[in-house]
Amino acid sequence: MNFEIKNVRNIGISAHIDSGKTTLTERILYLTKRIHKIHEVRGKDGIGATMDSMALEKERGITIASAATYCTWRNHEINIIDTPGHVDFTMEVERSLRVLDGAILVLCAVGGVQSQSITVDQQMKRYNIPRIAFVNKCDRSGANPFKVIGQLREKLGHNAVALQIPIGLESGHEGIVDLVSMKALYFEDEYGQKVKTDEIPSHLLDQAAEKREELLEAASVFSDELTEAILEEREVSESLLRNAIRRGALKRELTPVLMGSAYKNKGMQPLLNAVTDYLPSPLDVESQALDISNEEAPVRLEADDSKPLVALAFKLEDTPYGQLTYIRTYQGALNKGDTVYNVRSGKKIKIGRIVRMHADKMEEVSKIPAGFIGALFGVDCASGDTFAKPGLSLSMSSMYIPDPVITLAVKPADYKSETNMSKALNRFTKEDPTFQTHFNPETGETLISGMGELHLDVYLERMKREYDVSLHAGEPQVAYRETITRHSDFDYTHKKQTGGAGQFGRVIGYIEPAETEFEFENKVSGGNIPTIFIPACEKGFKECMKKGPWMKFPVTGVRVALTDGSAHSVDSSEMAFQAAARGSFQQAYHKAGPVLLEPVMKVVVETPDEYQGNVMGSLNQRRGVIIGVHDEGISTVIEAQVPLAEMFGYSTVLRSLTQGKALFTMEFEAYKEVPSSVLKEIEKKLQQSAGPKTAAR
Amino acid sequence: MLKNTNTLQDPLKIMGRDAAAGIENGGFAAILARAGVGKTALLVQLAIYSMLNGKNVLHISTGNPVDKVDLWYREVFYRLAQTEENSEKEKLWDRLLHRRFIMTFETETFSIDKLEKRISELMASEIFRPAQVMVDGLVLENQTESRLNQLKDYALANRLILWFTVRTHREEPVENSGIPTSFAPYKHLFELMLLLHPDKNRVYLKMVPDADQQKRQASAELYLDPATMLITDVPA
Repeated sequence: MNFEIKNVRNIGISAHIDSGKTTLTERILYLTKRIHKIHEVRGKDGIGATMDSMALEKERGITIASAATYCTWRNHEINIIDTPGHVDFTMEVERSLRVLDGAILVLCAVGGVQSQSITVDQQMKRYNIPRIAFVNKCDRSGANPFKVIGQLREKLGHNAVALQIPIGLESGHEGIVDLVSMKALYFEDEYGQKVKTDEIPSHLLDQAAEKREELLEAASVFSDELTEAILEEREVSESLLRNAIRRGALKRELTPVLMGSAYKNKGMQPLLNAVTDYLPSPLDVESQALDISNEEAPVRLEADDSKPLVALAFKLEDTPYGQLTYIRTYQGALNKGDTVYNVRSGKKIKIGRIVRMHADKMEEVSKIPAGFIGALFGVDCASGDTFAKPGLSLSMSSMYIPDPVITLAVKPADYKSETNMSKALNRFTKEDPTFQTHFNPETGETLISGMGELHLDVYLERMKREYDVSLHAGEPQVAYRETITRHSDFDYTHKKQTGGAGQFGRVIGYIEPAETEFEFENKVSGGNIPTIFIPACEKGFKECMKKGPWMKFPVTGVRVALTDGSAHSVDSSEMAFQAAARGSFQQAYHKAGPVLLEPVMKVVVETPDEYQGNVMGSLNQRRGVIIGVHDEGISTVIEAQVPLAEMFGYSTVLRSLTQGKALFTMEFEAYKEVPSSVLKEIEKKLQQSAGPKTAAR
Repeated sequence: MLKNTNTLQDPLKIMGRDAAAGIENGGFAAILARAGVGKTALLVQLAIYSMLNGKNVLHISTGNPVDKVDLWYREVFYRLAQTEENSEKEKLWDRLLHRRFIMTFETETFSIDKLEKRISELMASEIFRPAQVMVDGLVLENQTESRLNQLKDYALANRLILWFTVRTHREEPVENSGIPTSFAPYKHLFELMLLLHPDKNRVYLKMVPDADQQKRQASAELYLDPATMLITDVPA
């Protein structure tokens, strides 16, 4: 690890499903000599690509966990975080984006900018990540890289400019012309290891000159020197142009576009060069932490080994040797034998083994310098925890964690499965904050919750495969919520006189709709309720929020104001006031116009033109509201808002409607009121499911 | 419904003419302005007023993603409804969503043929039946008069009113009525034309009446608030 920090690149490769991201990563690892053999994603050798390390991923041909791996290129160290492309795993994507300094946006030369590319790009925009684009699959029929560049500009709002033009497309794709050096590049040998430089073919000279003009014009905005050189018609040196492009890219005001075909091994080396040339080092990126001891005021971090350590654990993985924690240092170095402090839990940890990961193979090292990515063994922590030098109370900004929208009951089949399941669940919840579990003592069931059907499916599968758990899974249940729509007053007295010490508490006040989840306001004056009992009242109200008095779903969006009350000098107690609060909530709640809320999802379907009527019909049937339709020529993208409760099993329906040619993504949009016709059905179902159990008791 | 409150009143009524009621099925209306003056904002406002009046609106846009068009509607709606209570706003917005359908096209593949085909498909599958179609981004100069006449027939047969945005150019000569000469050949196809004129720091809105103008009262002038692009009768 003898790299200077300015020669480090922490990058991600982000893209639409099937745009060839994993193949691309595989080629990069091969060219940087990290692997010595190429396995295709769905290759016949049954090994699968190196980055897809989980058995399940290999089988489905998708990438779920974001493995981190590193390689070296032209004296630079490149850490690659492989990010999943499914929206159901958004948490994974977002967490890996957090530790990236730059990214390659892979786009398909045929499919162009598809709906999912838009989602991923928006996420990157949120984290201010500079990007370069790679137009892949130039060897496919229908490839048109310049159309894709147009879409980058139009749909994603990038100031995209080509650094290359293709030499031939589709089956005639031979190589590329580099517009910076104005040379033709060809890729020879089995895996294109050898780059042959040649003169630009004569039939491409005009196009190359024209596109270079465009490049110079776009880049000149970022360099006065370049502008002068152009105006004075001087020769523009390669380094001058590269510097200008780099400046534009780091500011995220220019998106350099490269092209080629990963599968055919074309354009890989120039892409790696572009990573080192145009993506930032940790020094170029401003990172911030929050000062916990000072009301979370932001503090700037410096990627300097001599400063006190601040590092983020961004991913956990269970390996045969114990828990592996992926970590990125933002400030200071992490050495073997150091004692660090987990800012969340307040525990001190001694650092044992430090490794660098290459997908599922590892290499032991003695330190992680500032700005680098590595992994630790034998550290007990949760994903998203911050490690800092003892005495430092800095935390990497907490990430927004969405509430789960779907729940499933699981029951292990035998004793062995039961222990294994609890092990598995324990690990999954640590790894993925959007995956939650709890035990329902009333039914004896374990409930798992997550962000979508596929999300839970993957965990169920993993329990089976990795932990050998055999279990029965119930029907997925939507996470309904209750809220109130009106102001409602209460005046409630809790009084019990059954011998011994009595109980007395009276509370007066009101409840009303609130924007936040729960608010409590104490307006009692003159000590009518002694101050010591106020927290007990709040606790009583909060308890009611967990289970609504109406349909027993969690309640949200309520402000409780306590205006008056009375107490008894002997009989009043904390318990009495808690009970009074509970009673008053029940009393006021039914008059406050309670309504049931359900999660509504944003559903995006991409379908060939001829099926769009069928697809829209299927969304309509599911109580969906179609927001709009985008006509892309051959395919159509339909955007709709559909209640989650209606979306179960939709992937099967969509497949049969469109002969498997349509794709859909779904993400949480908002909680919305359940219409009254549907409400009756839900009530009926609840009664039915409650019925037999009560009878059995 | 909030439609009777002052903030959500159809601004064209103030001008002595109910825009929607004044145009019959098969009717064409246009908003003419230079780039960046506020054509889309005005188009979206008019669409929202129609939706508040119970009409289904199909919004056609070229070169913009659905999300962006949706955002226009959201922003204009929330500005118009800013004085209303939050919970009411949300409910009304949810109801309005059922009256709106957005269709976006790639600029290079968009044509009147395609537009007619899509509208027919939409109605045939009973997914959405528009009363008003807002077309943002069709370049009229690329269309022949006879093709536009056919579109008018199509609109009449399907009981539709069509609104268009027309981009004019700064240096272009204008007729007395304020209509640019390049648009003059199409003028007779349109029942109503709204002109947006930026003048110093205000944008004023002028209605170019049809042949019945004598019957109507003299049209007052309205302005667009340059900060919000919303219609106001108070000059900024």
